Amino acid sequence: MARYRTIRDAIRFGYAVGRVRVLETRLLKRSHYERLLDARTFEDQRRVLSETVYGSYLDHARTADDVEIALDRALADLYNDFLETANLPDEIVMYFRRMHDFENLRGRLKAEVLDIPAKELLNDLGSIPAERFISGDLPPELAAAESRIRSRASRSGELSADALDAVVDVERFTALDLISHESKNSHVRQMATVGADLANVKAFVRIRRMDRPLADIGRHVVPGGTISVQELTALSRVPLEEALKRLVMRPSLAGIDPEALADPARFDVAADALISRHLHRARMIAVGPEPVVAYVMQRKVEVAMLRTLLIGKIAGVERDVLRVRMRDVA
Amino acid sequence: MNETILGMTGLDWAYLGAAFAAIGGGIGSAIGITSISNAAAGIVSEDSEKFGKVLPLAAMPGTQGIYGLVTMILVFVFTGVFAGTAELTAAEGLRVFFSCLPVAVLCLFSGIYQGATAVGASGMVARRDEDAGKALIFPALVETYAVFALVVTILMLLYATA
Repeated sequence: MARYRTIRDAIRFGYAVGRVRVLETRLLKRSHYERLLDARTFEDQRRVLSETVYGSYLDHARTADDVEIALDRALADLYNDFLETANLPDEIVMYFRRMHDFENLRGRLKAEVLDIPAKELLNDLGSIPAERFISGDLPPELAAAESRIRSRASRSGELSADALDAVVDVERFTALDLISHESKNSHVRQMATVGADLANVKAFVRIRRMDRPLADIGRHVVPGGTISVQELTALSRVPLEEALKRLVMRPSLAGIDPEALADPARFDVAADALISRHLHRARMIAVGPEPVVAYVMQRKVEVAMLRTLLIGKIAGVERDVLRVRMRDVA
Repeated sequence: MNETILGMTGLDWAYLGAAFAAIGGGIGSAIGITSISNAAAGIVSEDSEKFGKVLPLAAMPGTQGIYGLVTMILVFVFTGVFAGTAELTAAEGLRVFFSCLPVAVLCLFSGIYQGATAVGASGMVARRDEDAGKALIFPALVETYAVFALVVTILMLLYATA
């Protein structure tokens, strides 16, 4: 069986892995991040990135919105020109796309609550076009998820913005857990497990910070992770810092700074970086879907870091503050 | 000369051995080259300057097919097929058939695995041009056993047709 897999993977994924081996050499390096941190203005940052793959996307960017659009375009091209053409099983492609479907679902529902145009909160990175979220023409599984989100996030008949994030996360991770199992790929399953653990820690921190009742933890725990509701309930009785230190001792969260888990400004980049580190073994596999998945994840981390750095600079965030946000990766 | 083993004459067995050698080596090479060529195409599609560096890797699993062809030609030479003087007893033909098996089997598997090894080695070339020489060494180690198979086959053929 293993012999057959060697032959099949070399033929099926050889082209994509060959591309990955070259593309990996073009990932941003520590020196790039140092120069981006040291840059005095956003213009200087654009000059640093002009020699990289992001140069053409950021050519005309001036504002934070432009940067968001440019980086979304970079990710869209990565998905369309690389992920979709890498011969990966449909479930693996869907794993990446589905994350953005739920981001869009969240965006549309938030727009409804805040009474703003939904278009501003949507992107074209998901498995279905952003317009279909506006028109409400969703595939059955997303329509069902939306209906569950509406019923769970409603307070006296109206959607509650406070409850929305947590409820969407539960639906998102339920879907990703299912897709990761269907993919039958251990690295994708690992990515889903680590992602679910991180989401549960995020919910745990949010509930602790808002002094919500312990019963809320059970409602916000997402499936697919290794942390049980009972464990989180038990950890509610110790100080938050101590609880986070205990949580990062588990294998899925090993290596992440507990302070990053407590800091919303650092959480997302640190979380992506942790998943990327978990995929380190995947990068070492000579041929198969694993190096391709690991590369896409690395690029996602890169985009998340650039978002932090570029938009932070435009917003006038101090260099030292940006450096603290970056230390989980660089 | 008309005696048979399993209904096949000596010449039939020799032909079968020659065919097995050519087919085994050919299949091994075809699969091996397909594997490494896919990876090489991926590398070149992103960096066309690496074409010359990955070409030797892509060509390497092709030698198993050549060994199969050489074996087939040697069978025809040693048994006198080319000269039109082919006369083999069934036992001699069976010996020729067995002589072809090292190349038939070993070249089939070594071609496939050489391709897989070359895919891994191509990653070295993709990262650093200067490692192109080192990258050739690993698939070349697999080649050793295909060469051994050819040597064994030639020695056995010499004995079988002496």
